[in-house]
Amino acid sequence: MTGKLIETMRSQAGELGSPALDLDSIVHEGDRRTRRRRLAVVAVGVVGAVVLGGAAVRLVDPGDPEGQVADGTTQRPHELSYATGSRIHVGDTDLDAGRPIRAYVETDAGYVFSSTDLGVYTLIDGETARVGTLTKPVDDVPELVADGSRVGWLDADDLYKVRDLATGEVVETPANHEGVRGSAVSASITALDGATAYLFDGRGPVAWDLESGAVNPRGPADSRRVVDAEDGVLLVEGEPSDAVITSTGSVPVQIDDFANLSPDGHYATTSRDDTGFLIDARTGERLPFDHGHDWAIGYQWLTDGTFAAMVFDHEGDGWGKPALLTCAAATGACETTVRQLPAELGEFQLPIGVAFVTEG
Amino acid sequence: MKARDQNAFAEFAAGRAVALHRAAYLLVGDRQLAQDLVQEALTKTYVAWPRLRDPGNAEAYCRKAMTTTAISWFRRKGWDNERPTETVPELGHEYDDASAQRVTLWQALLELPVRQRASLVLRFYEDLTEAQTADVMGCAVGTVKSQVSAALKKLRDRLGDDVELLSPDEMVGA
Repeated sequence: MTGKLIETMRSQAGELGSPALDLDSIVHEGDRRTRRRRLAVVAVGVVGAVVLGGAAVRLVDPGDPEGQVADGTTQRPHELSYATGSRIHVGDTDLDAGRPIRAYVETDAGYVFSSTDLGVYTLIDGETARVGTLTKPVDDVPELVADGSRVGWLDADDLYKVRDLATGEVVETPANHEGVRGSAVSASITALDGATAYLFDGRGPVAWDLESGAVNPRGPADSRRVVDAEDGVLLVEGEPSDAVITSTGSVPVQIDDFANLSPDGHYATTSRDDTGFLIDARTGERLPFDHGHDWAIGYQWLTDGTFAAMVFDHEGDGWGKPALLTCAAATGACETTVRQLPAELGEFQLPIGVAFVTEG
Repeated sequence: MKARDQNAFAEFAAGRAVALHRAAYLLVGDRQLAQDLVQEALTKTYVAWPRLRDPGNAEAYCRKAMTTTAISWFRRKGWDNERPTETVPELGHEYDDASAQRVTLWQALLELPVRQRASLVLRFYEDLTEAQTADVMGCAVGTVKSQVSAALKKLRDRLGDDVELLSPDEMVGA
């Protein structure tokens, strides 16, 4: 026997026939978004530095230009870079990693990259060393996450590993797939903060204390996925809304797929409705982002107030070659740093821990 | 996307279009909007297609994309239960109590907040479990329970206790 509710829903729905879908439009629009999502989805995994639960006390030594946050990580300025083949290009310098670079990140103590053999390698002072093996990486999902001198990844046998390049210390904890309900949930480190790694797997969002080894599912009070975390500021997604959480409160924000907080948690680059923009993370207010191109997205913070952006311009029916800009958060002004990258994602990599793969 | 994957996606889209359209209509209450919603959900599924790997994943992903997109539209556009709908079913000359009840119930469904309506559609039209509904809506199982409970209460308030919204079998877990 069927109650009135289901009967009514079936009756209403049953009156509809096949929709007039435009498959060509779906494919065209999907291909357009794919190129952008390659970056957007990925940027979730960019550097993080945070203290869980607030206590955002900055321990800045005025005499120390690098600065240090309460979690003990430094904020050494990073230089805009990109990789092609086995080389990382930094300004006028090319670093030879000796192996094809699949994805890479920059830490305060050197670079870490994954290669086509799924090995995880460090590149420190020109020396490449294998330190791990990726577990079944998924295209467009961050496979390396860095913060300060630490880097984290999901190693073989489903072990999360975090390595401190400054000390060589490695800590690990097993991933948990129990409770994953069917579709498209991959275990991953979503953010890394000096002494805390934020994980997402079958347990939902989890905070892993790297010093004590304690693994604590976040919730039910705040069981939202941590998208990024920096210096006492968490950016979380979910109900009742996406939000920036600081030690003093919560600010609702709306993000589509990614957000990347500045090292001091003051700003965030993010995207919504397929448009990249810059916000003040303390208020949620959108700030000027004068990139001067048809499409842009900020993907990496180089300092507290400077970020790198990738931009595209229309060319015919498609998009031209991407370029990389350096932008100032305070003014929104940008200048071109790398005029033209190779045309196709997959022919170059950015230091965001995600492997761009070539289409086709 | 590789050609063989495009063919598989096209096959998936064609095979699921009607079912998606119907569920979309229950979510948004407007035929054109439902069509737009299906188009958008399929576009998102197309983008994710290379990593969905099997049709079961695609089905779940598309359903989730459609639901969260519908919720997002209502939230961003501030529609929620104030949004007028295109069709109030006409009763005509031959309506009876049962027809009148269905009309009233449909209208009441459309006036629910979108998350409450989505929880009913997923639980009782799509016949998902609470856990599956929570996964699709991106919330906790407890939230699904409370959304369903609140929705049913509103419908009962509107229609009266004499109307059997759910049969005893359907009531299990609700």
